[in-house]
This record gives sequence, structure tokens and C-alpha cells, in this order.
Amino acid sequence: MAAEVELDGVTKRFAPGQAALDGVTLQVERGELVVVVGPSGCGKSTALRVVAGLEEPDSGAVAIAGRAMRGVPPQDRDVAMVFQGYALYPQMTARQIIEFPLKMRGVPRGERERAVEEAAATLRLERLLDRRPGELSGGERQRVAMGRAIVRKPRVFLFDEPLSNLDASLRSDIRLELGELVRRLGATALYVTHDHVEAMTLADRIAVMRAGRLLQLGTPREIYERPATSFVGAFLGSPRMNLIAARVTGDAIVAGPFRLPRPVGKLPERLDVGVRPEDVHLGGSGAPGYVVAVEPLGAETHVVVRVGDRDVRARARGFDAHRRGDEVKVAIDASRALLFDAEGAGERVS
Amino acid sequence: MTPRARWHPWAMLAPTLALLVTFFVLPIGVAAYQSFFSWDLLTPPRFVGAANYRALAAHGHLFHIALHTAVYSGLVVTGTMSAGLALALLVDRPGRVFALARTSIFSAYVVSWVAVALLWMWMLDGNGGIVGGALRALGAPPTSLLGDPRWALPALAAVGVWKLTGYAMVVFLAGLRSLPRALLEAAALDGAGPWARFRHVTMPHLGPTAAFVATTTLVTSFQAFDVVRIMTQGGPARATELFVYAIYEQIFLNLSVGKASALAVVFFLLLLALAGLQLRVWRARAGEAR
Ligand SMILES: Nc1ncnc2c1ncn2[C@@H]1O[C@H](COP(=O)(O)OP(=O)(O)OP(=O)(O)O)[C@@H](O)[C@H]1O
Ligand SMILES: [Mg+2]
Repeated sequence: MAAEVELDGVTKRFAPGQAALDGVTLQVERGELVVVVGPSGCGKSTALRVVAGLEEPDSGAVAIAGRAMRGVPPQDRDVAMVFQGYALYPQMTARQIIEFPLKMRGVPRGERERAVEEAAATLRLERLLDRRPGELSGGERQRVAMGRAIVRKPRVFLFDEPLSNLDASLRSDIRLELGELVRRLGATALYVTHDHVEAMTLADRIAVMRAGRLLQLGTPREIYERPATSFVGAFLGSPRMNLIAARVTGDAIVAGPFRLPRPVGKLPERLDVGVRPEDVHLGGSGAPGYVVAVEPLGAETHVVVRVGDRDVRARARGFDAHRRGDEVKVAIDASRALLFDAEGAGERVS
Repeated sequence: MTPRARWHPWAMLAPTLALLVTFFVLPIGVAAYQSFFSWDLLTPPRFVGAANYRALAAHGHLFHIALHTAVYSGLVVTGTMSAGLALALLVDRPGRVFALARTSIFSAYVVSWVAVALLWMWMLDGNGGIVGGALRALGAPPTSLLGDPRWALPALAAVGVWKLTGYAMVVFLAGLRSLPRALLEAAALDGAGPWARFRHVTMPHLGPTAAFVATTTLVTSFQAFDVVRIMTQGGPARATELFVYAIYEQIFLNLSVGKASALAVVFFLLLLALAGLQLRVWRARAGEAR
């Protein structure tokens, strides 16, 4: 099956020098939801805008449903976008806003009204249809923006941080609804976010970007368990993965106070050992250290322990008994540790 | 918030009130009083009742002045707004050429009315003027436009438009710049082409800007005096007699302070009605926007 959205070596420069997109190649299958993550300014929005036709790539090609998109204006691509600030027309009512894409495509009035009612029902917007954006809350505006996107059943949805303006509890509610809705419509979607929970929960696949490049594309589980580089490993996961500088000596890897068995195969001289906080155990054995910070979250507690001259993040269940200043022994689960090259791009070596 | 003493708010308002009373309420009051007298500035004033008003209304004189002023203002406001908006849309682009164009167009607004009037008199001249010559090449008779009773008023209005367009353009540019780009992009993705985007996104956004430009140019055009004084002196055949010029004419040419005052009072009442109308429209808009 051909990819629904295809970026092939897309490069975009706004100014000479640094590229906003640098040879990005990405294929999104039909009905798939790909979440794009990366630090601020890495080119996520630019990637969406190139797909939408709001920017033309300097080189490389974009295709939607197998059709090359060079020179095709946004209004002629079957793409809907939910903007970060929602971009709702201030003088129109919610009904008029949702109806607008249909009106622009010459859909007859009766059909339009039916489609608006249907979209409003899906998004539980019925009672708000006659209000203007200024009279709606952030969450309601977000739903109107969604309504405008879903009403014409586009081939492709583009979401640019659609939940970033919402407070935490609303965000998690809408996140669930949104994932369900997109799947129900069977649409193909690209979804940009900063939030790793959104990325992990919504994605069929996650694309991790940095400085205009696509570092890795894979399922949330692949990305989490087998990150391509130390950057990807550290970017997804909260609290962040520990990266401990290490060297290979004989048949062991020495990472500060920790010793790991050396895996077979060739290894670079200098390594970074990646250990997720859940693979750090605080207890009776291991390297001695003391607790410098405790963050109880209810179901779990994040603990930062200073071992020698480095801080190690650990995750403990419930309200952990540790307190600041406590002496603890720290051990890591060597079987789950990831080894990254300390040089260059920080690629994973085992 | 409640003031500590009852006179506090009045103390705050006093400077403005003093100015308003001195330069606005008092003169209008004096004019209203004098409009009931016949006075030629030399002999003592004589009470004549409403005779001044009656004389103005006779032969439709007052009606003609009001009509000329309305036509002139209507032409200036519509012309300025359309040309200003069109130019704003045209020059709202990056690049030095457009920056130069913006500056040049606006510079006309900085020139004084007197200079503009003299410049255009020269340009419209049927014999040597650029515009006059061009018109003659197109088959117009060799008289100046300003000498033709049918064309003098539109010609004056065109001069007003020429001067005010730069101002309207700058205000419309500010309005355009405050339009979030994402709105236009969203409309494009919604399937709107360039015209539909202008119609459904840009125009509604410019509504308040347009109301502002309309109000200010209307006020300016209603007060037109310099162009008439310099270019036509109200002629030919009184075709360009506008309100403020007519008042001037009554005092300084006819030496009739009473009639001039009566005209001023009528002018004031007209402006008051216009201001009331505008206020109502603004209130309705504000209510709608809420
Ligand atoms: N219109 C533009 N003109 C010039 N530079 C731009 C423009 N749009 C984006 N850039 C630059 O391109 C790079 C990528 O921007 P982009 O908006 O895609 O980042 P992003 O990943 O969406 O960031 P954020 O997470 O902060 O939204 C940035 O360095 C940005 O400064
Ligand atoms: Mg962005």
C-alpha cells in the first residue's frame, strides 16, 4: 500500500545557513497517526506547513495519496490543519466557522447544515454553535477548531500542538477524545507536540526531530525501549533517562560507580550508558549516595540521588520513604541499560 | 470607585471643561445669539428675529450649500477609502521598492492644503497643466476643469482624495498588519481562494479600521476650506460653495455677520446630527462584537 503522506528528502531554509528542515524523509500510512516531537525550533511546525502547502520546500518532494504536491496551493490539497492558536475567525459564530470549509467548496446548504450538526454532535458542541470565539473557553475553542477540521472529512489531518494552550486536566480529557475521534474517522494524521505523554499515548508511530533532521521514526515502544540515539532516549520519558559517561575496560564497562558486563561485539572507546529511572533501584546494595531531591506525585515518587559527583534520577512506587539527605545505596539494572556512543551523534551501540 | 469629596471629579475635569467652554460652547453660543441680528461690522447690530435664517432658506441657497458639501464629502470619503485600501493592499509587501512607494504616497498627506491646492490648480490648468493637457488630448474642451460648473466639484473632491489617500493607506496598512497570518492560512486550508480570503477574513478584520478612516475623513472633508478658497472661490456659478467657505463668504465678502452666524448654527446642528448617527452605529457595532 502506498503511503498517504510522503516527504522525500524535504529541505527548507528560511535564511542561509541553518535549515529549518534538513532532508526529512517520512512516510505516513493511510489511517496512521504519526506524532512529531522535538525541542523548540527543530522544524516540527515547518514540516506540517510544508505538507499543508503553506510553505514550498526548497528541495525534495511532498506527495499526498501518491500525487506530487509541488505547486499545489493549500486550498487544493485535501488537508485540514488545527493551528496552535486555533485561528478561529473572530467575527463568525462557531456554526459559521465549522460550516466555512463546506461553503468554500460549494456544498449545498441543506447538506452543510447536516454536516455541521453531525460534527457538533461528535464534539458535543451543539449548545455553543451560536457563540463567537470570544465567548468560548479555551477547550471549547479547541473543539470548534476540531469541528472545522473534521466537518469536510479530509484525507489528512495536521495538528500543531493543539492542546498546548489548555490546562492539564482538560488536556488529558481532550487527548483521549481526540485520539478516539481521529481513529474513528479513519483519517491519516500528523500531530506535533512537546508533551511526551501525548506522544506516547496518541501515536501509532513517533517521529523524533532535532535541528531540522528526523532522528528516528518508530512505534512508541520502539522509541522508548530502543532509542536510536542518546538524544532520543533522553527526549522521551519522564523523568529523563540517566546518561552516565563510561569507558570499556577489559570485559566490563565502568560507568562511574557502576559496573556493567561488556556485551560481545565491537564497542567505541567512550560510551554513555543510558538508564531509565525505573531501572534504578534504591536499597540495600550498590553504590553509596545521598538523596538530594524528592518529588512525590502520588502513584510514584521521583528521587534524585547524588552518587559521587553525579545525580541519578530514580523512580519509586507510591509515597517513597526516602527523604532529602538520606543515605541510600544505588543499583542499576544492567540488563536494561542502553549503550550509546559518546562521540558524534550519540548512536546506540547495543 | 467613589471620590472622597464631591468636587474632586470636577477638579479633574476642569482643564478640559475650561478649554471646551472657551473654544467651543462660548463661540457657538455667541454665534447663535448673533444669528438673530443684522450686523455689517460697521453700524450697530439690529435685532431681526429669524430673518437671517429665512434669507438663507430662500431660493434654496442653504439647500445648495448643504448638497454641495454632502456631495463633496461623499466623493472624498468613498474615494479616499477605496484608493487607500487598494493602495494598502498593493504596497503591503516586503522589499525596498514597496517601502519607497509607501513613503511617497503618504508624503502627499504631509503637504499643506494650500500647497496641494496651488499644485493642482497648476496641474489642472487647461493650457499648461499636465492633467489639463492630458484631458485635452483625450478630447476635452480647452477650458480648465475648474471652470466647468459640472466638473469643478468632482475636481475639488479628487484633489481632496489625492491628499487624504496617503493617510487612509497608512491606517489601513496598520489594520492589515494586525491581521494574524494564521487566519489567512486557516482560510486557505478551508478552501478559500484569494478573493474569498479577502472577503471573509481581511474585510471583517478591517471593519473598525474602515469606520475610523470614514469618520476622520468625513470630519476633514466637511471642514474643507483652503481648496475652495484657492482653487475656485466657490465658483463657477456657486457650484463649489461648501459650508465653511460659505460662512467665510458671508462675513468677509458680504460683511453679513448675522447670516454667517446663522450658517454656522445650521452647520453645527448638521455636525451634531452626524455625530449622533455615528455614535449610534458605533454602539450597534460594539454590541454586535460582544
Ligand atoms: N517564517 C519564518 N521565517 C524565518 N525563519 C523561520 C520561519 N518559520 C520558522 N523559522 C525558523 O525555522 C526553524 C524551525 O521553526 P519551526 O516553527 O518549524 O519550529 P518548531 O519545531 O515548530 O518549534 P516550536 O516547538 O517552538 O513551535 C526555527 O529556527 C525558526 O526560527
Ligand atoms: Mg511550532
